[in-house]
Amino acid sequence: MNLRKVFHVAVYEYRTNARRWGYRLVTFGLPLLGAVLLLGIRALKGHANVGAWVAGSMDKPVAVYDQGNFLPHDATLPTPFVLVDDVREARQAVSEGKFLALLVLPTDLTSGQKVTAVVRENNMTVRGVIFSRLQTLMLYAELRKAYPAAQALRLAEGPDVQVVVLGNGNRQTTHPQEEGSSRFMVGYALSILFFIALFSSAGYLLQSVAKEKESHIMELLLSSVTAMELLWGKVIGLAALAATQVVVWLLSLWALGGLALRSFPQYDTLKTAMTQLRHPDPQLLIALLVVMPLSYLAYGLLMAGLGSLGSNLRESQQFSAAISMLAALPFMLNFLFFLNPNGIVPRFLSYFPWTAPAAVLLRLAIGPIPWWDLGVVVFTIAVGAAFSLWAGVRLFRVGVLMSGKKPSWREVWTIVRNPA
Amino acid sequence: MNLIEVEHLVKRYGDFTAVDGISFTVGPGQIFALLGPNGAGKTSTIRVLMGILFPDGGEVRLLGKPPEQVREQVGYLPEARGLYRDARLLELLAYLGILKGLSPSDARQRASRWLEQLDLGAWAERKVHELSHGMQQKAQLVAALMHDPPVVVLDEPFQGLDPVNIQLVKKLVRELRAAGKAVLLSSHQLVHVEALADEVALVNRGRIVASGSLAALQAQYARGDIAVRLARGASLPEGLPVQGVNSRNGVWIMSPQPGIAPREVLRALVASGAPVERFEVVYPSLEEIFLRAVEETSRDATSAEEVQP
Repeated sequence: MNLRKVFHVAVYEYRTNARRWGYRLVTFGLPLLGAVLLLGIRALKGHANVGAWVAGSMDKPVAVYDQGNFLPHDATLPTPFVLVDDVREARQAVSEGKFLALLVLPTDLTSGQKVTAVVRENNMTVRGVIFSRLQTLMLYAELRKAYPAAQALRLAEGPDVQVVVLGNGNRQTTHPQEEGSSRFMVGYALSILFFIALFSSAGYLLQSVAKEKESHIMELLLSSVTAMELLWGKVIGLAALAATQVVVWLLSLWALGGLALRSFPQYDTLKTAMTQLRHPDPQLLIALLVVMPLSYLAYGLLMAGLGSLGSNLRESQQFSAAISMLAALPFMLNFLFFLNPNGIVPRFLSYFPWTAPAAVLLRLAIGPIPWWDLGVVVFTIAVGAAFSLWAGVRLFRVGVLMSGKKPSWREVWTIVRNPA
Repeated sequence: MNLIEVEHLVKRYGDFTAVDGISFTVGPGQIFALLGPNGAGKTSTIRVLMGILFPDGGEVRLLGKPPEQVREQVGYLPEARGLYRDARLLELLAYLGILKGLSPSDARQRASRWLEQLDLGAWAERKVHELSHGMQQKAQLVAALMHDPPVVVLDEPFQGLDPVNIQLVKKLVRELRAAGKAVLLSSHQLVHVEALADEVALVNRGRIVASGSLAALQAQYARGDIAVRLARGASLPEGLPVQGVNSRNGVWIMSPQPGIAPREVLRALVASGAPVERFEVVYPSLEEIFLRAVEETSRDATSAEEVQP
């Protein structure tokens, strides 16, 4: 293989695809959008309603009408509850959006009478806020009988918990309470960004091959470079394109995260998220730096091979649609990951090379996975990349010169087995 | 030394044999034409020559080496041709030049010079899809020639060209010959090649059915027909030693009787006092030669099959 030619093909692919509007929009538009949002929120920092503007209706107070005098009649109810005396006025305030909800406590809670919640938006998030906070309120009411208001409030809200995770032997690690949500935020954000980069570059690879066939320039190129030099040039050039995208996003995330932290130092979750971004979890790091490049090869080479079989972009995309569907499958089944990230389906999906990138990133966003588990993921995806190299190269060599009828899947398999 | 050498080349696609034992050579300063109908095996032969396909039999050498070792010394205009539609013309040609081994700056300079030479200088920074079909064809010629290769392969170079651009291509091909390049042409439009090629090979169903210089082929396939034009209103005198007389657009076409030479027919015409304005021996066109060669080859093949036990 002539490396000079591979390099020049890579440079050309990088340069032409970096000029695409779509690429520029996604690469620079996302950070720009983030910056605009953050600066906007920052500008509203001193404003009284900034919380409501940012978090929507969730930060609004919840009115409580206590028919049975269950609650202590002092001014220290847990956030976001406020006692009201007039049900009609409170209902009006709910319908005007001033209260998130109105809770009407029955005359006798202990006899099993129901609490009535009056809301304007009946969605899962609103219900979640009401139900979780209602328990705190009930607990506070009981504790208040034995403790002063401040102590009862602290106990009802629950103390901070530090999590001690046991490792092999005597090893153990301690993690703050807010780490769970910040880990998910960082892991999920990075997963999405890497996933977008991986799939846009694999998609560009497919388009590049399909367009060369469609425009009939392929044969001219093959008189100067071998099919292998052309394929590797494309793979490397578009990998560099994806890497550029990821670097731009990481730098932006870093800068915007730092700005957000300086602007809102009171949010502990933001603080731990930035710490995790600066010192990423080693498993996440392995997933991003090892699993994702291998996934790019597993997807990209197969997509280039399949893409070369169509005589135009539409036909090529029909071949690659199956692979794209597989890639998105873990996101479609994400509820199974949240139920148990180490369950059989999440595990299976993270061991299958073409569903692995999304699956492993989802699992890692929820929590650490056993090291041997990550080892199996890396191994299976390396096997997948090797298979794609074998099959993709064979398909590409034959496909670039094919014309006329689109081959059937049976014929595709015949080409893979016997490319001569 | 021959710059292109093809010996007993065989190329198969599954059970179908596209090229069946083709051999030819092309030397420096020579234009060689592979002629034949679509599907004759010309493009498959050329793709093997370009190292794009691998042969199933026989041998191919360019500049004495296997094709894949000399890619940078060959200029190629493929039959299925096109360019990146969204690319800027000069940038694209420079890229194609780099892939042919030129340095980036040299590739850009040469591409620019060629574009000026072919009246495309004003279009250098435009996108390919803004160019007319003819302009794109010329741009592809630049891609084939800008690295000054000693071997040039042009597959169906006249396809889709208007008469002006056909003349331009013919002129370029003659200049290549004058510069000592080995030029291999392939075409199914025989009429354009007649005036260009030093040697031709007529290909049908993967085999060469006739080959040699045009003059040699014409001599080989000449029927000895004579074309005669007389002054307006004059009729052909009787008693001439000819047969099979036909008139077409005021020209009489005839064959001398067996054993009679054309000059004896001329002598008889002059002796009869006929007002002769034109007298010439008719040589067959490449198209006629091709049709007859195919016919003869088919007949030979049928006879050979019949004597098989």
